[in-house]
Amino acid sequence: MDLKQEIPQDLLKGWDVVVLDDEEDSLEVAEIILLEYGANVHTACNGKEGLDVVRDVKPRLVISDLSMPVMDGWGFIASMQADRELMDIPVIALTAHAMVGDRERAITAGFHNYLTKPLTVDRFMKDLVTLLVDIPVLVQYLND
Amino acid sequence: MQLLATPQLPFYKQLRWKLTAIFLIVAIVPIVFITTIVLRQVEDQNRRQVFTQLESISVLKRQQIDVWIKNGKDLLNIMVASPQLSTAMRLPIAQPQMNTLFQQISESNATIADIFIYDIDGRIVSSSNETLIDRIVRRQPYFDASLLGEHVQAPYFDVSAGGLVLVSTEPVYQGDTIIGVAAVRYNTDELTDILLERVGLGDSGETYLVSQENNYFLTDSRAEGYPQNRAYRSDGINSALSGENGQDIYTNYQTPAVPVFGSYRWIPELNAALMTEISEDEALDAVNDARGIIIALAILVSALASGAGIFITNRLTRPILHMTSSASKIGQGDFSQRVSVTRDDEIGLLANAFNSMTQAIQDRTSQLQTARDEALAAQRIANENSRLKSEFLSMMSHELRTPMNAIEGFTGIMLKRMAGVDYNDKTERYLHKVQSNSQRLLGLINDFLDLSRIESGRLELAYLPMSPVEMAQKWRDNLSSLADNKHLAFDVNVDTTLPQTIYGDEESLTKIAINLVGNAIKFTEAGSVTLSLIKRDNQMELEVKDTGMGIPAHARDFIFDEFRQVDQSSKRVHGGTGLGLAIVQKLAREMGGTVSVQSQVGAGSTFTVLLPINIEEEPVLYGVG
Repeated sequence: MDLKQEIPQDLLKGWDVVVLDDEEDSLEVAEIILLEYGANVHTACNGKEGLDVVRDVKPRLVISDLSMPVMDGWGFIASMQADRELMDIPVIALTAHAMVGDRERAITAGFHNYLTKPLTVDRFMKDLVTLLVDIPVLVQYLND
Repeated sequence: MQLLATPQLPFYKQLRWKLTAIFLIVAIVPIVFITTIVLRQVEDQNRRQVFTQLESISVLKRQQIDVWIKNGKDLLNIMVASPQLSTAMRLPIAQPQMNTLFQQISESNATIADIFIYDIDGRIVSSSNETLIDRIVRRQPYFDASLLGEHVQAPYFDVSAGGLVLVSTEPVYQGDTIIGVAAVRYNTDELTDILLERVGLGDSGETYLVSQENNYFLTDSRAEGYPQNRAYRSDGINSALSGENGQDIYTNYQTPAVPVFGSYRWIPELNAALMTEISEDEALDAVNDARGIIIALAILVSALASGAGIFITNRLTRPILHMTSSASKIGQGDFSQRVSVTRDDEIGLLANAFNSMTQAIQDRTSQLQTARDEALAAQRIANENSRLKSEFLSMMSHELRTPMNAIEGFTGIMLKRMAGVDYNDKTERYLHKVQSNSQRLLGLINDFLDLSRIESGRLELAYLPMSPVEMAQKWRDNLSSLADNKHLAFDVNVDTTLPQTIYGDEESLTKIAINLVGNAIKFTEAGSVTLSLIKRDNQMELEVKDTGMGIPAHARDFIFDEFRQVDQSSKRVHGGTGLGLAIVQKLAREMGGTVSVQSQVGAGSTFTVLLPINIEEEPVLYGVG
């Protein structure tokens, strides 16, 4: 897939994507961008809610912030990894620039990869698509 | 901590025993030496004295024997000189009168046992002892000799008499013709008395005669069981019988032989050896007594010297041991230790110095303790402050960035939706300004956070495998738009000799590249910016070269400091916080590298970062599986 090309608007059409963030505005930005590309976006404002939503919709992709109240991103990924039904769903971490060590830690903890905040319209989708090509299951969907 | 007792030395290393040993040696060696010499001298003197005593007794006995013999001889001479004697020889009628005279003489003279006269045929014609008259003496040992006209002194052992017999004879002349012989038989009891006189001979001493001729033991021995008529031998007897006089130490005739000091003398008149002896034991009694006293004295002096040695060394070593024990306790931290030595000698000085030193150590230690406590407290506060600062920064970053994320996000969404739609007003332009300012603000916040993280040592470098070529391509992709905006040429060169894969922290490298290239573009109005990755031995050089305004020499020292730009006016023109180069330098140092700059005002600048290349190194952080 050539990233220089415009990303097709229906790239994520029919995808269930769950986004976890405790910041309403950030959550909304992600939601809007993902909606633009055709995804069915489900949101949750902490890891605990996120687990419920994930169990409910069985999404194709999860994007999770790391610092959240009640249950943070680390607790969330640990629970996902511990659940046989959920462990195969790719989870992408949203890391703040401030947390350098978190990125490697995130991968070790079980996240598929990470995206860097702030989410900007141009970069977010570009980065996301870069990460998606690493996930064989999703590549199949993308190619279809 | 191990409890340090006073170190225990093996005894042979202890000063106390060394000194005591030296004292003993110094005291005992001369004492032993002197004692030996004195003892020897005492023995010598004793020996000389014993011999002198024996000799004088021997001489005395000899004189007494001489006197005893002379008595009889004188008597004989008087007799033969008397004309009556020859008359009596010839006239038997005069003989009874003669007998009476002889009897009177022998009774008045204790030396003489018998007096008698015999004719040349050996018949006794007259005698003090009437039973002897008419006896024939022809067979007696003196008979033949007595007729030769000389004085004869004839000692012999007479079995019938059971002892020594000494007979002296003198010929009786008529004209020139010997008509008879006058003889006296000595009373040998007197000789025995002389010999038995033991003055000066102690308990074991004895004086006796041993005959040459018949080997007879001629006098009573003091010892029981040694009859007179036997032959006895000893070195002393042999020497005397061979005619010598002298003194010696030898074993005597007894069985078992007793060692004796002896004086021996040849007495020709008796044809016998005069032996004067005293047992060695008795002779050495005096020496033994002296030896006992001297040895006792030596032991006493040695004991006193040893006692003094031990006392002195104890006095010497006790304060030293005390100080050693105190020093051990001080070593364990008990600074209250003081040595209580009240002496005005060198040991006292040492003790005083020791106490002063201990006091000084105590003072110093308490000062150090206080200083350390203060320093620790200060450090705790500093650590706490640092932690609070880090927490504050972390929180601030999150708090500042969260609204920025929203602004950035929504601005982006709005601009995207406006794209292609002509609203014909300034809304879109304003939104672009909002976006660029929010990005600048975010960059500012990020720079702050980078710097504070490096300074607080919380930067974690992740050395992961990466490709320099791919990294350079990403840099070109991301940065070329900046250069394009200012119509500058932007070239990226990668040295082909660089390894395909190196281990490095790509994020930090990228931050360095972005800062240097960003700065170069910012300060270059025309020309080009060139980024090169070059291999220099085992280092990688990241070089950013521009054709910009350059940096004046005076400024090159401080451009790497925070918040410094060459002049304040440039900040307004070019923007920026002045943190970029500081971040570059600190990151380079964190990675073990260096940053340098070469510049010519008006011609451009070249920033060079030299970093070690890690090829073999394993990933440092988190094994990525």
